[in-house]
Amino acid sequence: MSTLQQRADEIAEELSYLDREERFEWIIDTGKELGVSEDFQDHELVKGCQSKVWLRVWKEGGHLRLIGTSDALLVKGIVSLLITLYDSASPAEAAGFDFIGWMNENQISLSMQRMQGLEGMLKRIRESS
Amino acid sequence: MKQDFPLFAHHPELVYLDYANTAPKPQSVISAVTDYYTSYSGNVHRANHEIGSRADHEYESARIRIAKYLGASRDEVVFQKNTTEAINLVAQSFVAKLIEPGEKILLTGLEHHANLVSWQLIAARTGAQLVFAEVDSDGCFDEQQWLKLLISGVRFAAFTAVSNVTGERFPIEQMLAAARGLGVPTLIDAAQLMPHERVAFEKLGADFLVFSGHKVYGPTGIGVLVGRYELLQAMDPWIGGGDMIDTVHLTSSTFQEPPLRFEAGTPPIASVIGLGAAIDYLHQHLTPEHHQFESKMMEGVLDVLSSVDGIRFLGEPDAEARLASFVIDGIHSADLGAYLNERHVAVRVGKMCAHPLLEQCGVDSAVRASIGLCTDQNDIDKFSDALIKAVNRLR
Repeated sequence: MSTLQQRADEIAEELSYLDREERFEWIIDTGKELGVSEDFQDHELVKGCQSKVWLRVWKEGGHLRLIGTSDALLVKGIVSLLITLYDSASPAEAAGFDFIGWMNENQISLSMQRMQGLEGMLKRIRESS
Repeated sequence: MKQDFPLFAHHPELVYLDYANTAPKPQSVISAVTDYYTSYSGNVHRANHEIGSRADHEYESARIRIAKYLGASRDEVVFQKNTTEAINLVAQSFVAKLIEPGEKILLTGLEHHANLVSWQLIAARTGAQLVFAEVDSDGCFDEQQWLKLLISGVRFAAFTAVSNVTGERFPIEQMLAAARGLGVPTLIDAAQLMPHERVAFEKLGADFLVFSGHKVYGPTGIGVLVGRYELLQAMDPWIGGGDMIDTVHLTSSTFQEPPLRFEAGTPPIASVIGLGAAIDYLHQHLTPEHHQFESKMMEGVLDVLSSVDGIRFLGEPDAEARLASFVIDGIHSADLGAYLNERHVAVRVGKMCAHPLLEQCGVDSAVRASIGLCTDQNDIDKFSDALIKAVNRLR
């Protein structure tokens, strides 16, 4: 099984072939591809987002599990990224990974408002680790 | 006109459609602000040297030009931080003193938060009651219902001249005439009117009028309250400190005449001087010909938007509006705003500081495109391209 860092590196490599505009389009596609079968509850909403974001984080056999979605496509893309990276990671791995720093390194552009929502999502992951 | 605005030289690709939020600044405004800081950065109203005298002169000269532009007298122009602070001054110093428990303050369902929350605070403090002229589910203002409420007996009426969400211009002339006829004092929130229409304060017949500097191509941090002098004179200051006093003793003070009574402490001198330059710019460019041109550009924006399948406007914006808010079926407003931003188109996304109105329209978040002095056909064409691409991609 791959580590969080390995998964992050794989995505980074995929992104390295794309220019800024293509990276933006990539996030849209990632959002479109996120299949969601769960019904979410109100308490799973993440505060501080311009759009609605639901994120459920729990632990299973000492590893993190994540599911989530959003009513906005771009945010859904970010949620999908969080799931790909953090799902099945150990709490120690999750604590040691700087998601925002990684996004910046890979030039995934986000408006400040969306960043505020992202803080809420990352906080939920931290608190459940 | 874009050549007057350095913002567009720095961002040649930019399609700015967010004037209703804040307007770009012409070089003349930027120069007025930097001139103050580079050549005569003294304080005002306490000058005993040349630098300070020059600052004083420019500060008061801005006041005189603003008053002249508005058809008011110079002593009726009070500098505040913004529209919000100007409304709060009237609420705290005029209405709070006037109103008795149970008496009504008349507002509309289209107010932005500045002209709503200020009155909620006063109502909570004085026991006054807030009544609202309703908005239908399309977000349109019902003038008849407003008149009915006015006639039913209210102590004060405050309303926006132009909705920052629907772009609707209220029939303020008729509304003010009716209020005057009944002896109801009024406040007009002209934040969205001033950038597009020259306002004649005295002729209009409002008791108070407020607007923000940054929406009329001036600096941030400066707004204006225009008030009828006899009313200003009867008002106590809300904020105390230097510059607004006449005599000061340890336990009591007497105050300056208006407008200085309401300008406690060192004011934002550079911003006032910058606002003077902005009003000069408006004076020069807000001509009847330009008004027609803006209407043509607005028609262009509405044509672009109307061609999109599944679009729904908040209210019924027409060519006389200067903004349009909308939602598109199957596309989240935040996604649309972000996508347009990637194509260098700047619009507003969200609730536009008017949560109750969006709730009334059954909308969680909308997109708003607003035009201004620099909007041209090139902007409309690029907006059209970006919007078509966005809709195809995001659906």
